[in-house]
Amino acid sequence: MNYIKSFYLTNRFFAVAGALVFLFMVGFAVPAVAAIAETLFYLALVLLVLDTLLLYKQKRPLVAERIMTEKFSNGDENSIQIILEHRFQQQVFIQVFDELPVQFQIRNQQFNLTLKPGEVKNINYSLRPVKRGEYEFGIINAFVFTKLGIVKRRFQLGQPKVVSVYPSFIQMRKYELLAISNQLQQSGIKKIRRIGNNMEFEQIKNYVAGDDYRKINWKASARRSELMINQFQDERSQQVYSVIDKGRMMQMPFEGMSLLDYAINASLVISNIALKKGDKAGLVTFQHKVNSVLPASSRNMQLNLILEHLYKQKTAYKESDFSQLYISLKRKVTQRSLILLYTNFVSVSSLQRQLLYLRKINQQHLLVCIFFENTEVKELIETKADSLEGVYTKGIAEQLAYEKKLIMKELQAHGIHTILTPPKELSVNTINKYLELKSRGLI
Amino acid sequence: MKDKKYLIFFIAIITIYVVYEMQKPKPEDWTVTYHYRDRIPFGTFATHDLLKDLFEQGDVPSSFKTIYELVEQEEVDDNFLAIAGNFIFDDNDFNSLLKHVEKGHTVFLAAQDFSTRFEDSLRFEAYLEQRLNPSDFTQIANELAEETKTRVRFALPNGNEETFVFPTLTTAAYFSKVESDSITEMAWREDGKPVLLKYNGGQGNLYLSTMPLAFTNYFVLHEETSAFASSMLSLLPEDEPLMHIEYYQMGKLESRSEIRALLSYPALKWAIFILLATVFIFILFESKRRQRIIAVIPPVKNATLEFVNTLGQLYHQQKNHKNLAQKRILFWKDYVRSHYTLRTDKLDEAFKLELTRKSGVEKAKVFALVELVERIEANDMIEEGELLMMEKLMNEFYGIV
Repeated sequence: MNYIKSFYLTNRFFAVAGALVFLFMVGFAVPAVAAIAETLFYLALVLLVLDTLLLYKQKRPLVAERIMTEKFSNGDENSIQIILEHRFQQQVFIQVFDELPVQFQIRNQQFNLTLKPGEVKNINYSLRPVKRGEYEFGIINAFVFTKLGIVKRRFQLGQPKVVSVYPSFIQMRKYELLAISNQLQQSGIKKIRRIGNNMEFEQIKNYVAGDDYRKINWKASARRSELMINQFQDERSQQVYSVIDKGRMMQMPFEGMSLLDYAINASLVISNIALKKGDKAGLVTFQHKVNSVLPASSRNMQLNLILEHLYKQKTAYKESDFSQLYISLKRKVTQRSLILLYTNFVSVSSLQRQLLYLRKINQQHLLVCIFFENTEVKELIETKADSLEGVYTKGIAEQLAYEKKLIMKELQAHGIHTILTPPKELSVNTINKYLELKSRGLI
Repeated sequence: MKDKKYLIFFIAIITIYVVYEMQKPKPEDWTVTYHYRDRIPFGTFATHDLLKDLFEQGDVPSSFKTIYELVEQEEVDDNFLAIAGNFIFDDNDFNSLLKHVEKGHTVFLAAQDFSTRFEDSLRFEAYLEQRLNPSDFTQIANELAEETKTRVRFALPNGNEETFVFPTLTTAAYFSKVESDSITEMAWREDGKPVLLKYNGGQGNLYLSTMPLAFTNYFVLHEETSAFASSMLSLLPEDEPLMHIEYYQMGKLESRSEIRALLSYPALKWAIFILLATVFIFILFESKRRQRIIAVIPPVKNATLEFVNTLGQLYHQQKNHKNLAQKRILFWKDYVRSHYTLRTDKLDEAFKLELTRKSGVEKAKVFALVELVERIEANDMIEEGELLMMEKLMNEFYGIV
């Protein structure tokens, strides 16, 4: 039974059959061709049997294994490796269909390999999940055929495996390394000149154009005969809360990933950096009510707690209620903190409704309102309109984009810091803002 | 599990339906076929069976060929029996038949109608009073049930006479004219019309009957009438081989299907068999799954563009060009302010020059755009052309290709 189940035929089989039919039809008119066709038919039959024997001679001639991490990082390319090893005595061709998790909706993935006798080969590919959660890999289907290529034998190899897709820890590590090695400039992070000051002395260093000349250490400059400057330490142990709006407006996807998941990824990155800088990181999520509050802390466990917390976030995308958020923050976050609020506003009027609560939060804390540029609208603005209706559509798109600027201005008018960012650059822009605010000593 | 439940339910329903269909009393099939395999009332299964007992050879072979083919091509040496609704003979058939009879064979033909060629040559005429409507089964059943019967007088070769009673339906045809000297009448209806003729040609005999229905199952199995069929059949010599010719009511069996013609050529036979086998194998093997089923999850859609398009269409229907132009100017001014840090409250000569210098766009184009903006802001109404012109100038200003 297994033999029948694993027995498949190639296109070549059907091509040969078709050719034979054609030859016999020609043979109807030219009897000599019919005789040749008959010979070819028996030859084909012999080859078919031979090919089957070659493929089915051994019991387990092919093994495959899928190697990948236990956890996948959301929104990033995660690499997967399949190792194939065979014991056929001749060169074989293998088509591999890996059973991917249903979330990817990929139906046409196929790898074609040629293996010489005793050769081991790897297949490397990567997947970009856009939703957190459990992803179920199935088995590996491999179809083997020989040079004759008439019969294919199917092998069902490997084991099914479930991987969890977590908020982007890959990005987290990337920015962590950059922050430690002070290389944030590389990925478009601009160096912020220290404007603010702090009384905690750290070191004396060379003066660089742009430094505050009031802090020049004249004595040290005299000793070294070049300009030296006092550098002061950053304030430590400040609280940084990532507040994530899980409401209706955060469902919108860009490049397949919802704004919510962009926000979650950025929260993880910023929490990690805050912890590395000696600050305390915390987490608040809300929609129609506040769902979870993870108090800010700088314990060793904190980053892991935040990661697990973010992984578990579920939402019904309800209308977010900022009054609930305000009440909750007022009650549970008593120390002045940096509040990074990830949300999305589309129009000034929708902002007006929430502005009161935002101002209230800003009185007690340092509030940074983070919302998103609509890159699809931007794309529309940057294309030529070819009809009057196109001009109208473009005008509306421009109005929407302009509205976002107005929202930003409205918030700034009330002393609330804002970040208006394309979803892709969210993490970078948030880190920049954090570093800027910290160096200005605003918290 | 759920699927299985449905399957069981489905199978149960089908079973009930099949049982119901089998239980239902079948309406009697009154089709007149004269076929030796048909057990319906007007088939000739019983007659064929009867032949076995009447003739020494036992099983009487059936042939689906014409008399011409049998006599001229296969040179068959048997006596012939043919029962049909009507005989359609061509010249070849007719000549072969006469030749066969002259050679000393006996041929028995039963039909309600004979072809004119036949009738003219032997100089007789058959007349059919009432034709059966083959599709009207109720009419046939009614006629058979009716009391109106006809007596048929049969002069046996041994000199005796016997009388049989038949429903009128059976004796609807009779020989209306018999002019030949070599024909003798052998059986008559009660009104004296002959229904069985004997033609003496050469050394053999040809019997013609207008009562083919007498040979059907219904009458052969009926006690009152069965003797008539066997009496007529006994006219054929029992010690000579007999052949039942079915061609005249059935046609040539093998000639019916066109594929059979193709199959008679070996090359085409190969082609067809390989083709059919391949199609079968294709369906069997290509329908097998290559990997597990991937359920469809509709992707979450970003509806912004749809929203923008819909709004655009709505505004377009209103055709308030000025309103739209103002929206676009707001966006443009914001662009100028944020990119070139220029004040946009006064669009004077200095502004234009500064903008030209800062943006790096050709002077003429910047001037044209700013002047158009000024003109639009000054007017209450603007033209469609101006809106399109603004689009063109703005694209140049923003550097949109």
